[in-house]
Amino acid sequence: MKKFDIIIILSFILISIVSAAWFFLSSNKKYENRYAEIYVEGVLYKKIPLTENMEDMTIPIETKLGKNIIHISKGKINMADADCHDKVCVRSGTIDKVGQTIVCLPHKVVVEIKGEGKSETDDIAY
Amino acid sequence: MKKTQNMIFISILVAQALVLYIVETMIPVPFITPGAKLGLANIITVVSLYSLSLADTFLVVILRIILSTLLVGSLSSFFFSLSGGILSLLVMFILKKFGKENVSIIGVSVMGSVFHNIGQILVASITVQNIRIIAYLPVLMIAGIGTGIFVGITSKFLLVHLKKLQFTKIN
Repeated sequence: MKKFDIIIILSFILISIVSAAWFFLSSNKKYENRYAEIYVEGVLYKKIPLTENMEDMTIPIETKLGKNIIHISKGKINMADADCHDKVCVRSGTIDKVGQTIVCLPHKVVVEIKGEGKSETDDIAY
Repeated sequence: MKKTQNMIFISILVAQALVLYIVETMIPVPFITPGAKLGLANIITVVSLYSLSLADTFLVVILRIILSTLLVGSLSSFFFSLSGGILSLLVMFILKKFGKENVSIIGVSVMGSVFHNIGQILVASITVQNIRIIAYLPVLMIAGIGTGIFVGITSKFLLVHLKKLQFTKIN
């Protein structure tokens, strides 16, 4: 281990802690409304408002790339099933905070939670 | 190093990288975040960087990526490996060239691992056209530091043995 090694490792740790903290703070803001946006191949496919006492719903997405099944229950979203080869999206687990995403890369499906209202800075405008 | 020796050395490195790559797909890794893995094939990239010219190292990386795609991958994994591999190779080369005496093989491989992840995240966000994916980067960076240190130490031991070969020039 030499001088630069330690500088490199420490700076990477610092960058990741700062950016993780930034992501954490931006996802923990209070929002009036939360909604899930499902993108297929970069195009908005469906927008679903999320509430605590909403009905459970299952959204199948079928494209020429493959099939995904998204499951929403009590404002929490998870990828119930997908016929991709690595199942990364299924293993990503459940998301319920603003800014969190589930990504299925092979099928180009992105589920993202967004929020609006009550937050001071609009960090969802991009 | 003679031309034939050079060629054979490159082929051996590519073969080793392929084996490591395939073995890696069989090792169950705890699921931390999408894309996190050991990056064992990076050992060969680091070793090539220290024992071959940049052009030959580039050849090792490209051949490994093409062959591993044919053997176990898919078209989408090809572009991920390609972007990550080339970006990490260039960054490692620059660091090694300008760091000189101040940087050891461990620092170089940590840099390589982290930039491998950055390259893959970039391609991932381009494919799904969503920049939000970079939220995975902090975790992947920490994972990259861990695997980078491991890869660096392994490469260091490997280079000690490669020095015994008459024709290799470790730089």
